[in-house]
Amino acid sequence: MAFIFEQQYDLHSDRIYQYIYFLVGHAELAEDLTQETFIKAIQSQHTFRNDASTLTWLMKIARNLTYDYYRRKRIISFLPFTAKYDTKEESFTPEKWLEQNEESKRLYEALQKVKMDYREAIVLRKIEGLTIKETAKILGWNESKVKNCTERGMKALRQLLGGGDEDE
Amino acid sequence: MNDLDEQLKGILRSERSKSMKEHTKQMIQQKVERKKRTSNWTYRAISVSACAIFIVLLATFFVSPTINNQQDTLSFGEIDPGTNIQKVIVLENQQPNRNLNLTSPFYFMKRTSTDQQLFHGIMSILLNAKANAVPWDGAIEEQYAIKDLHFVFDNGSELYLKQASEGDVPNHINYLYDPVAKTKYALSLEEWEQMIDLSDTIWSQKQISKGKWIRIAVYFVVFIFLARFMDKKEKSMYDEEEQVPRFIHVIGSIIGVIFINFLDNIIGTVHFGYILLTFMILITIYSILGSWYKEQPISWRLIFLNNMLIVTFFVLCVYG
Repeated sequence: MAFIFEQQYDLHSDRIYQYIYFLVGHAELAEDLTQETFIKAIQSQHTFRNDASTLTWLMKIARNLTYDYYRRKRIISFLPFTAKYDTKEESFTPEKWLEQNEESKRLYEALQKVKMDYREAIVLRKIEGLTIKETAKILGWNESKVKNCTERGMKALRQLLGGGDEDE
Repeated sequence: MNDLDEQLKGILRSERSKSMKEHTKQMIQQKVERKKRTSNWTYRAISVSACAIFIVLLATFFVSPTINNQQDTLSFGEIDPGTNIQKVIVLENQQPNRNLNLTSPFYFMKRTSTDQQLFHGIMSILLNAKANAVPWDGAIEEQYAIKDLHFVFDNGSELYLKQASEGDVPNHINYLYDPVAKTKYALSLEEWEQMIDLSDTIWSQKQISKGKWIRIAVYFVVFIFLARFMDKKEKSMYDEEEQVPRFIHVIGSIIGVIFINFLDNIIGTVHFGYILLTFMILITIYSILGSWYKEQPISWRLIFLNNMLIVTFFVLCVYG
């Protein structure tokens, strides 16, 4: 199956952008990483296997690029200049469109506070509605890790939203 | 909080304006186009440079004055008394009856000396041999390793000799054999000691200098880089849905090792040329089998590039 950029971009760019936004919580950065994701996909389309859906494959690329971004950022933050001035992405700032919906805003804020592993599992399983198998494929985990992280993530999210732990 | 699942499902999604989406799309297309152009030029530049190096090396390799036939070498009877030894090449020959072209750069293990002090007295032995050599049937009695020597004289002439013994110790006789003229010369004890001293001293010299090892290491790194680069570029041009299975890699490696060992037994020494040829044949077969397995057209360009890299690497090693 060939990767036809225009077609795939029109089909999936919004979901890829949204997925990255959930991970980074910053619109501009999410747009940049979406761009990088599609560039990477075009360049490495020969590695695409038919046993995965295009969306799953794109999400995997997006996830790797997001991690690369965080890794770079962690290295750069050791430099004295950036350590002092580059702190603008430390806390989540809701976008205009989000300000109008209090419930979603709280969810976004809580999501940005949970551990990255939990956040990823919740986004893919609960928000994007992917299966455990698809999620495992994107994250490069085994299925039991996906289940564990989703459960623990939901628990942490409930606590952050002030609902306590239902199981307790 | 019971409906957290529902809340997450209904979470408000980001709004990307049409213009933003279109702008990003254009940016992606532009960037990809730019990268493609740069990458193509890099690929072309590296391929053309590699081809140029390959052609130049191959050309110099075949016109090199150091590679000549043994038919140009002298026999005992043709040694010019007025000339002097300029260079001596020594190689241990595991198969005494086999004649070797010691001037070939493929003999990686051979040792060469131009130390005139070592050659003192050798010229008179060779002249004695010229005067007293007797016919020889071409067979060497000795079963184990002997020393083959190749002399280069001031006047450009060359002489190929073998050094071995006949008969049981202590009644043995030491000979110098001339495989070209099929004659042999029985050495006196003193002459034998002088010849042994010459061949052993040269043979015990350090084979490859530190600088040569460093050069070989650099060639190796460059070679790996070029191979990886071309492999990556070529792979991206083909549909790689079906990967070459691991067993083909394993079978290829095993056949390669067996074949080289087999050749080594026949030749009796590490012969670079044959190894090179083996590699080239294996790479070609391997690429053709891989293409058949993947049901893709055979990439002759890839086969050529791979072979070219192998040749370049081997030639550089020899010249290094």
